[in-house]
Amino acid sequence: MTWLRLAFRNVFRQKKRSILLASAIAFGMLAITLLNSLTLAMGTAVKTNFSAALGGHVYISGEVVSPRNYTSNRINEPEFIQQLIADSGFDLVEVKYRSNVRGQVIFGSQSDSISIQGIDLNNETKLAKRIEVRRGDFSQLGQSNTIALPVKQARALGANIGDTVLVKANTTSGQQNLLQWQLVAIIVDQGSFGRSNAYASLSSVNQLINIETNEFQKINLVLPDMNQMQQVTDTLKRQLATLNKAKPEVEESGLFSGMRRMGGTGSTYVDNPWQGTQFTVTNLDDVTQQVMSLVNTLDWIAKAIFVIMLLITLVGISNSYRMVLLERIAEIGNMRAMGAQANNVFRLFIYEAGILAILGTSAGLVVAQIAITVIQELTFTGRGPQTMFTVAGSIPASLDLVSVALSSALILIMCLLAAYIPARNAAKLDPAEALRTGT
Amino acid sequence: MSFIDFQQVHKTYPLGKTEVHALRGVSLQVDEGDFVTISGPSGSGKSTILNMIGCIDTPTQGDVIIDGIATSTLNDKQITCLRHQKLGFIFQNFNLIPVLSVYENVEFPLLLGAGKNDPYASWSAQEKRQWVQHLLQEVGLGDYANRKPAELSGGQRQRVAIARALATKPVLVLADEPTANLDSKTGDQIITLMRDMNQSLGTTFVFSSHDPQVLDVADHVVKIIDGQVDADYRTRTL
Repeated sequence: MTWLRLAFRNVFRQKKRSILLASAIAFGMLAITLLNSLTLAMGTAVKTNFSAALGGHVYISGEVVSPRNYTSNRINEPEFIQQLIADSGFDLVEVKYRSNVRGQVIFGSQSDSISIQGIDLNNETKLAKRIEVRRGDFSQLGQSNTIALPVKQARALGANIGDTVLVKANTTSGQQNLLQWQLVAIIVDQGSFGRSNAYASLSSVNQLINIETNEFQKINLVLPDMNQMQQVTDTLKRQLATLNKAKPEVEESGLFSGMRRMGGTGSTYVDNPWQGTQFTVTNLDDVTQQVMSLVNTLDWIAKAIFVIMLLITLVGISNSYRMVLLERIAEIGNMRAMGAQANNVFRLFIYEAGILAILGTSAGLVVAQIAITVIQELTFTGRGPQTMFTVAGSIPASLDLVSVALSSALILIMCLLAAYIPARNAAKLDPAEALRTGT
Repeated sequence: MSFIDFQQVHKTYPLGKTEVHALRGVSLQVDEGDFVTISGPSGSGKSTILNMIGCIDTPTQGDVIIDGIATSTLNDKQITCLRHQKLGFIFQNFNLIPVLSVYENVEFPLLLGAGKNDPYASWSAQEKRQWVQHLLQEVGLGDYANRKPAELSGGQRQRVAIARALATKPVLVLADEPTANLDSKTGDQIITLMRDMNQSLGTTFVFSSHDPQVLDVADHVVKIIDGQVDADYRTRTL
């Protein structure tokens, strides 16, 4: 306790020097905490956005071949895949059957392009909760030939509840189709990278893209725990491969390769047609893999910068303690003369470095927490790719306690190491020599 | 048997590429309770003798025996314990710890741990506090306990150093030119204070000085010239 108290007072003896050293440590801690928090937030935002946009964690899509050897994205064996999922015994929160198409919505002389999701409201309880209905009734999508449009599109078209709009889109075989739907809801959906989807009933979209009303293009599985994602994916892939119903996997790279795999190859000619549906199983990790690797690269760059900054700071701390040693030679000789053991002197220097590290780290953490709070309050608007790093327009930044603990421990250890040699030299000082040369 | 016994002690220091012979065969004895002055001109070897007695320096040749123990037989840890248990130090530059208050400076040696034979080993915190306050009263600084050394005059700092040297109730207090940085009046007060402590507590005092007036108050005078004993005599018997 005596040495700790003495060390604490020694830290404040040269206030300017201590403040400078602690500030350098604090800046390092602030930088790494913020960078860690931001990269973690980016990762969280990417997964949250993709999960919300894609409506689940594991995605099953299918492709069938037409008599003219052209593929189309659809599952024409719904009972087979439904039975397979039921037999697998997975713990599932939701099983969503969906079809979707990018189409043109026309009202009067106005038109706008939008992605239309065909949904079965009976299986979409979470979506119904997430959607904010501004006008109309979202539950009316249970009826055929109805559509819910985002506020922005409804405003651009000048359409209101009850109006009939024309919806134009390509069928799975590439022909154009045009249907009349009634606008039943005007909504706000913040869950898809800032881009909004229109929603229609599954059967209506199937009619638009010209597939059977009991069919669908995708099955999205929502799991209770995201960590089960890979296990479920592997099991389904294995079962489909055993039944010879799995589409051969093609190695593909690029930012959105996972999404393309999930969506199928579209209408392409094949030399060797197959019977029935060939299934592709992907999951959130596949879709976000490329984006996450970018985030991870940023994370490693941040860590490298932190280590370099830390090393520079440590050289400063080590040099400072060499100076401290020179300044306190007589004092150390005096303490040794009074009966302080060499290890007491060693401990005094180590305690001082430890206190400095703790003060600097704490200050850095406090500032980082303030910065994170400010970042959380910021709202980002726009529709670019950057929206994948925000959730509902905000960066979901928070202190990552594990990385805070690791960074703090690393700073403490490095500071103690920086003080180690000066502390050892101080402990080794010959008392007679120290009293003779010290002033 | 004498409390301090120097037997043909030599000490050589390296100084650049040459050597300095600080002591050349010094033999002397000091009895317990003595008030001893080691006098001589600057560079004569006074401080070296004090450092040898204080076990903070070792002889190049010869033996230094303190309380029957040859210091050359002890390792660093044992020597440190010996210094802590039996010795107190007063320096020319006071050497107080600047970040500690007057009270804390005096208390400091008591906090460095205690051996089972130390007089204060069984003291409670309350007894230690009373003893430190008593010492501060004795040196006339009872009202200065919370001051920092930088707030005191030179004479007051040396009084703190005396109180600190006596904190562990040592058998022997060593003072290296304790009046050198003080004016003559304050120097006389310090010598008088040390003399009083010597008589009231029975503590042996050995101090170096080249002030002829100091010789008058000593029981035992050892004059050193060029690293050798020039004169060794008692002014009064104990």
